[in-house]
Amino acid sequence: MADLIEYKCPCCAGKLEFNSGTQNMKCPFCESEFDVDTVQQYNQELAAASGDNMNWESSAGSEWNSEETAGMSVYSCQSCGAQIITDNTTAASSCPYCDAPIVMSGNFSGDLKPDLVIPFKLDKKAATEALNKHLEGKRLLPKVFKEQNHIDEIKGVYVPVWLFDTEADANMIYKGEKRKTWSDSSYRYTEISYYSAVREGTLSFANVPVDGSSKMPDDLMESIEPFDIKDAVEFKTAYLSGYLADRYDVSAEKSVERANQRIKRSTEQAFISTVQGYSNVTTESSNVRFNNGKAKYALYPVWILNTTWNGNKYTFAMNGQTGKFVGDLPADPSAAMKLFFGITAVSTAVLFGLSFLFGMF
Amino acid sequence: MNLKKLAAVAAASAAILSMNIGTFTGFECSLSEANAAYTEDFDYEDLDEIFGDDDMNFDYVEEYDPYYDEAAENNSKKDDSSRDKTERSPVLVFFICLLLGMLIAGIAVGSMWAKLKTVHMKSNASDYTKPENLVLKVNNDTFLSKKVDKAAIPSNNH
Repeated sequence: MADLIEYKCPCCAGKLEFNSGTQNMKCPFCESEFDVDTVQQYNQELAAASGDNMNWESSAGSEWNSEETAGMSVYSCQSCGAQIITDNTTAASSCPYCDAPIVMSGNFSGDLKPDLVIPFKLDKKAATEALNKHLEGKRLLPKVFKEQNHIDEIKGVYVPVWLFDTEADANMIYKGEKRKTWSDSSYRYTEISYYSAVREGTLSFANVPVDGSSKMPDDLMESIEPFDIKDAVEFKTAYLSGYLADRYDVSAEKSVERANQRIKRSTEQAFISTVQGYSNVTTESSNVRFNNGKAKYALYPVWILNTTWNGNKYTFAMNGQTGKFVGDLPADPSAAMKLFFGITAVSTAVLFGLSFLFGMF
Repeated sequence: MNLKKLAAVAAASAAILSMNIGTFTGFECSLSEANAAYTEDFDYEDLDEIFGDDDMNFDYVEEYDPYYDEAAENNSKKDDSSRDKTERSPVLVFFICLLLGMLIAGIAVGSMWAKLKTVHMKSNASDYTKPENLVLKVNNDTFLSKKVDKAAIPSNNH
């Protein structure tokens, strides 16, 4: 028995039937009519759309040579398990992530050597000033955060990141609606025209970073983006002098999922922005494939500060290249309540006075 | 702003409200007192001289009496409703102002609270591509169908 071919209505997805009177395909549910050729082409486009394909070549990093690792030491944090690398001339006494004491556990060996590093462009003084500016003007912030002795504990850390390059090929099908309304003395009319919009193309991405350290919160690292890759140089151990470097413990294979999410979202946003002139646009089919995907291993500069208040730990980070400073601050509930009641009283008095002046009663 | 100043303004607004309520109720009291004084001074014995025994005048009054009664009834209703509106409105307006004030305060404190939170995950990778990097190979818009809905405009029959 031959397979039955069913055509879906573009408007309501109901099964279309051939109307012998009009010689068109008609939907018995929403009563829309379509030209036969148009319906065939629309259904063929939908059938041709396949699933996403996001594959990467993951050959990031390179091998260390013995001369490079000879001058490096590894410190272990007994509290959070972080492994901090620095050169032998730099003394590390506390963990940049949890502020607990760290001890040297040996000479550095193994792991991948980074492909790139963005050296620190801003010094500790700039980080201190950025922190002070971040704390200014925050009326709900408890005063303890402005104490000077916390600021000195800022540490410069090279955070391991995986950088992903790719070309995203996308096949997108959208449904667009154009609406027109008018009325006469008896009726209000609404005309809705339905369109199928097909977009196929390529969008390239370069150096999409994903945090390679489980100790560095991903949201904190993404909040201080973007980093400018133009300042990146080939890695040399000399760049570690005076700073700490975190060891990566999240592999490129595990990091790629996050890169996929961000790149796919950007691709979908870029393509839908090309569908213009409609009052409403919905995505019927989305198909994103990655080509020429590559991963690189790099170290990005970050100034990190930890502090504790009311039993909660707060971490602040500053982009060591651009100076962008982020960090969630605690709010003082009593200050918030006082402000709330104060603003309520002032606003009520002003509004009441205005209503009296304008003779509303 | 100094919290002491805020408290002073709040107290002033409460004082303004209490004065306004007193002012309006006092105004109505003086009106009703004036009406009572006028009717007390009027000498109803003069009515006979005004209207007399003229049958024509009597017929005229009788003919228009039902309309006069109806007008008098409407006027009394109007007086009642306007008196009620004046008594309620300062309190109602104050509560409306209070609600709006709380809304304004909520928005202001909410925005101050939001400024304390600066850590967010990125939703996309738009910083790592450029709009000119987008190369479209297929860019087709195809008309599918059109439909027209009509809704009757309700008519207001008085």
